[in-house]
Amino acid sequence: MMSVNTLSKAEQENLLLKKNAILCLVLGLFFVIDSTHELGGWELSGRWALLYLPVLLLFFYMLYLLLNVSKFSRGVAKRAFWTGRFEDEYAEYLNARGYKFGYGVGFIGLITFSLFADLILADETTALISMELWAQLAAASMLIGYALPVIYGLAKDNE
Amino acid sequence: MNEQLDNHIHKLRTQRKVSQQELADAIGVSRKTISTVETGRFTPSVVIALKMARFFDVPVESIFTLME
Repeated sequence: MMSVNTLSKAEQENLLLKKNAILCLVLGLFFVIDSTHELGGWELSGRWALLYLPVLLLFFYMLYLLLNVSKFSRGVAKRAFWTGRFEDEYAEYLNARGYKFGYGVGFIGLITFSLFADLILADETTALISMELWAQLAAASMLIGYALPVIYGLAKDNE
Repeated sequence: MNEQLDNHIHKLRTQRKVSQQELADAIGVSRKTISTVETGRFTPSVVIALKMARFFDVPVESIFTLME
């Protein structure tokens, strides 16, 4: 396998975009699982503690990815990491599409809940959901909404 | 797939025995960009079209054509 340093700038940008999308997906899933813990009212003891295991694993994987992305972005793709702009056209297109999807998913989700929360959720559930949880769910949907089209766009291939 | 734009990149690459990676490196884009342009999933900018034309030493119209 080629080392990162031997890759062209465009290839490095694609790699950075991929890692960034995976990081967003993992972070989104982390928020989803973490908020279901609050929604489900699990106790972190006994057999329920096992249900928290995926959250811990995702958390450590997220830390690993964060280190990996920041270490990797010291190279020529550093500007892309900080500004979110890519010189490679396809990477830039996918990144913009990811933002568009993320915004769309977040917007539709928030509007739906603002209009129909009373109909969708039972009164007890609405009372159970804190502001922190709402924020986590909104962030999770936007992160996953960004990550999925980017990962899909990078996965499709034909040489 | 872009329904209006057709391209002959694959044909030109095959004729000149150039891989997607070699073409990508020559014009300063990723192989993914070449791959998606070739299959019509992504429409490139005029800059990329001109760089490809210069690389293959043909007019842009020989690479990209509008479907009638």
